[in-house]
Amino acid sequence: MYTKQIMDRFLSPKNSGRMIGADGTGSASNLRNGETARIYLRVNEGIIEEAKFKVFGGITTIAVFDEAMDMLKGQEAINASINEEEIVSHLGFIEAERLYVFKLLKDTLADAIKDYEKRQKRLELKKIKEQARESANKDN
Amino acid sequence: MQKIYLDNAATTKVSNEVLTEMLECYGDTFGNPSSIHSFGREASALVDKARDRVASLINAERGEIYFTSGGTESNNWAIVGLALANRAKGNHIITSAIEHKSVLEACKRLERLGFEVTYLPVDKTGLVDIAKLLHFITHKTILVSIMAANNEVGTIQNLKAISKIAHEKGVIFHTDAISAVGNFKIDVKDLEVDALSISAHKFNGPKGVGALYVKKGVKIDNLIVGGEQEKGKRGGTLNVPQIVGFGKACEILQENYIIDCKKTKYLRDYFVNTLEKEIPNITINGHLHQKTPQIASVSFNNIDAEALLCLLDLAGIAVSTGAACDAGSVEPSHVLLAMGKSIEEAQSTIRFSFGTNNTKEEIDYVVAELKKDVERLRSISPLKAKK
Repeated sequence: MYTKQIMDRFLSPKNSGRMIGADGTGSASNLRNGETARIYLRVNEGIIEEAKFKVFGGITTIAVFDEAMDMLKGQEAINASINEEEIVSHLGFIEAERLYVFKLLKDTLADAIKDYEKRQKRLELKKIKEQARESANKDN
Repeated sequence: MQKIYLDNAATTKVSNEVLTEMLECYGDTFGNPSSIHSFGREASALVDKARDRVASLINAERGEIYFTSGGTESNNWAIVGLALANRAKGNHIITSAIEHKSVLEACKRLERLGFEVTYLPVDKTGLVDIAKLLHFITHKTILVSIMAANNEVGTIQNLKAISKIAHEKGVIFHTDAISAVGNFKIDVKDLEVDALSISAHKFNGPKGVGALYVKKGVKIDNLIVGGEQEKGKRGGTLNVPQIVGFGKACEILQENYIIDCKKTKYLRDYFVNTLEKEIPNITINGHLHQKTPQIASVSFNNIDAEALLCLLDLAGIAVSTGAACDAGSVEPSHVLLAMGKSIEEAQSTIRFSFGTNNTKEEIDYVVAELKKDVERLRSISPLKAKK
């Protein structure tokens, strides 16, 4: 039913758990079966350094998210994407009725990137305001 | 590794006494019971004996028992056969939202043929609302089919009240007793049912054989045609070894069910009590008292039951996430949803079903393993515990 690669990822996930001080977090749910996920991203100079996940979901979902987190590392955060074929190839085989997991993965990642961009804009705004304050102080 | 079987609602192990009688039918008594020569007559005598044993278990007459290929056929036949035979009186059927798929799908098939079906709701314990049954019966209603005990949560319906209401309105009453027989005494005369489905493998009999009880005088159309077997009501050469095994399982059950049920209930209650002490944030589903002694349906909130089931399996513990007939489905249980559970709660639910072979030591091991696995899966769940 499950490949050895899926079972290995399920039994010993490398990227599961909460991340303190993440630069972007995103959540999504599959309304059909209630599966819910959260992704945490740590980003340095626009590049994803670390990605972690939490999942309320089955064996395949845990394995796919764990594999995907490895794939995200090193990608530019705002353009980060998931290659379904590559994940399936790494995990050996995924039953057709479980392929819905990729929508959950993509929705969760999109939400995390959106959150990262929002936080970045907030930081930029803060920076601009600080610079404006500094230059106003200088002028005075 | 220790192997522990807690999936007795899916199927049970064939008992040695049952197997011994079955094996004899693979020897010299191999005749076709429909043949008129001595080989056939010998086989026919064994079938008669088995029919008597099945009838005796549920207090029916021999002529009211029809052998089938199992529970699904019995339910399919009851729904379709009773509806078609009584179509001249009306085209309305009442069933419940928590029936087994073999009833629900048969009803859907009838809807495609022009019948109208009402699916009665249940309360949060899984009980059918009797007032709603009364409300929905019309002059067009010809059949009420409500299961005796639910296969996922174990809730036992108020069968006597249901049959009384149906009969007062002149409606035929069928009950799917597949998850009930073996768990409490079923007496068709006392319950006043018109048709009742049974399956052998739920109480240490063989798979692939069951029966439909049809009360004398109740009209039913054939589901399987093309043979004069079973008084012309169900074509097909009788599966003598399975039928003989079925009969023996009924005889053993009739002798032992009171003691067996007490033992199973003791084990189930011990499991639930220990679990509630050891693991927080769980919900025991189904009716608190009005349920079969075999089943404990438990929602381990915030974790996916499939993942938990897999970890238990790796520790040698066999359980299920619901009906075996729905295994592999990624959809949440229709039974739990009908009881008002959320999708997340339904997906967090495991069915533990006990048998007389289980021990307290096994249960202690299962609870210890569950505690470890639940903690592990909750640590990676994004859902928050209910306060």
